[in-house]
Amino acid sequence: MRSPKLLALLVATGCAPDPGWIDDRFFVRVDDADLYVHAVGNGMSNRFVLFLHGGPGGGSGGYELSPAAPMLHENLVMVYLDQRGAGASEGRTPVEDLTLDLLTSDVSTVMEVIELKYMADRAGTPELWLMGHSWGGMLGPSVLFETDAQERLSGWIEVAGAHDIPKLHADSAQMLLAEAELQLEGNVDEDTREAWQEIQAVARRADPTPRDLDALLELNQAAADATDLIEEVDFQALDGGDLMGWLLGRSTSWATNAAAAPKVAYPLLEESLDRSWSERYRDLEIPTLLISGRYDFVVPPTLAQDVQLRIASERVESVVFDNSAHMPMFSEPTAYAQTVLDFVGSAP
Amino acid sequence: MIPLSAVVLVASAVELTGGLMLEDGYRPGARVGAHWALAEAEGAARGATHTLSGGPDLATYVVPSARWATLPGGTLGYRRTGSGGFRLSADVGAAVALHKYTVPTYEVVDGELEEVRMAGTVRWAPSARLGVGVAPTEARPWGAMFRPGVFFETPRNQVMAPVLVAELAGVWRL
Repeated sequence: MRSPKLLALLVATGCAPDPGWIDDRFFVRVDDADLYVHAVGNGMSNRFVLFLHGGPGGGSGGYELSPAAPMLHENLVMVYLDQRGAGASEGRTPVEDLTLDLLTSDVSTVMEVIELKYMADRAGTPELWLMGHSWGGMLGPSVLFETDAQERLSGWIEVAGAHDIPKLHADSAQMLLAEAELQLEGNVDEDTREAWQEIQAVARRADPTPRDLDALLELNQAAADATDLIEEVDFQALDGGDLMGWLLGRSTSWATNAAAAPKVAYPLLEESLDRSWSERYRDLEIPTLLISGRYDFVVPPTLAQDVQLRIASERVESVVFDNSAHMPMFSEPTAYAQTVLDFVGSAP
Repeated sequence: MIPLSAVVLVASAVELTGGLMLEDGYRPGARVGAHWALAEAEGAARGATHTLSGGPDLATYVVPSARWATLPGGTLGYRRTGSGGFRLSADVGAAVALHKYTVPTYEVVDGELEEVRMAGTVRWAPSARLGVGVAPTEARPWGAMFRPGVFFETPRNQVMAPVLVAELAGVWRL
């Protein structure tokens, strides 16, 4: 029970705790792993968005640093999950046993915990949405198509979702070739010319489908290099105060992350080299928002366009951000957050 | 090699250390330990000594939003101490890493949400650290060391992952 003196002091100083504000960190125990979850935001909104991070192996911490996050938190509850093997999640699963199926089962359990902890006894009609970025766009469809998630979710938000690796690889190579040609026709300095020529060479030798993980990673690196060369793409960071707050609340060590992330990523990516959920989108019936960046060479916007053509859902919106690449939440944060809030019905 | 029972009786060969330890450069922790000189030799440089030492220590750090780690263990170290007290050191060690979560842990049992009490993990953690500073001398029973180091823990899926720490430690000769 809270001290009456403390409450009186908080009220007197105008710092009364917001009864609707949620800021919970907890672990969810599944089999031989403890998955780390941070739920933060406006509980009065009755809207919970379970976020699946990219990587794989990266963790959710970086997304909370995005300048779009504060606006999202003010208007809904973001539930950041560190997937098995990532971020602050702990466990004893051997790396070679990490599979998409295992992560899918984990997400389903976390959804159950959110339902029981936040939604079961809540007044009104609380909603649970699923959102995935990049690799989260591979994991999300697995949850949607391989579990009963569609019956439990209010909708799916796919941000630069890597739901089809062969198509991603082929389209990324094509997009890089087209952009390199365009850039090399222009008036660019010698260093930039050299960089685009290297990117062009990598894209030219890319097979239509990735023959192995190295080929996928090489093209992925070229895509990241190309993004750095595009002047139209801005990348905003938090200001000093917010950054310090994030740093102090951070749940993982950067060295641990840097060492562990690739080891977790490789088996999951290797397993997914020929995986495509594209055909299964014909079974997706819940409202869906597709977000992509015009200059995203990592997961080209053509993947979202492809989904739009196939999806069964009656409510589908696709938004391409013109000054963004793979991370629109950092490049155009206000428009990004507004798009998400409008779609889930939480706009201020 | 000097038998352990003998060095325990030689007070001048025992050093206690204790100080602030910062995980990831800013998160709070502490470390205390004792080192016995196991072997000692005069160096080529005038007045310098080379010491092989070892002993138990206890480290702890907290990641407030996730876990509190306690690491009882031991280290084996080499110290080069100049005549003025300037010291360089290198240690390797091993500890049991006891991680207690600082946030709740839930699991779903028969469709109900249950909180797991005293949740955490136990693992082992080899470690290594370097040190630079001043050692206790005949004239001054205390010294101070800066010791950057690393614990290797297995927080995830059996991957040996580094946890970087930096220590500011006082050293006392008994």
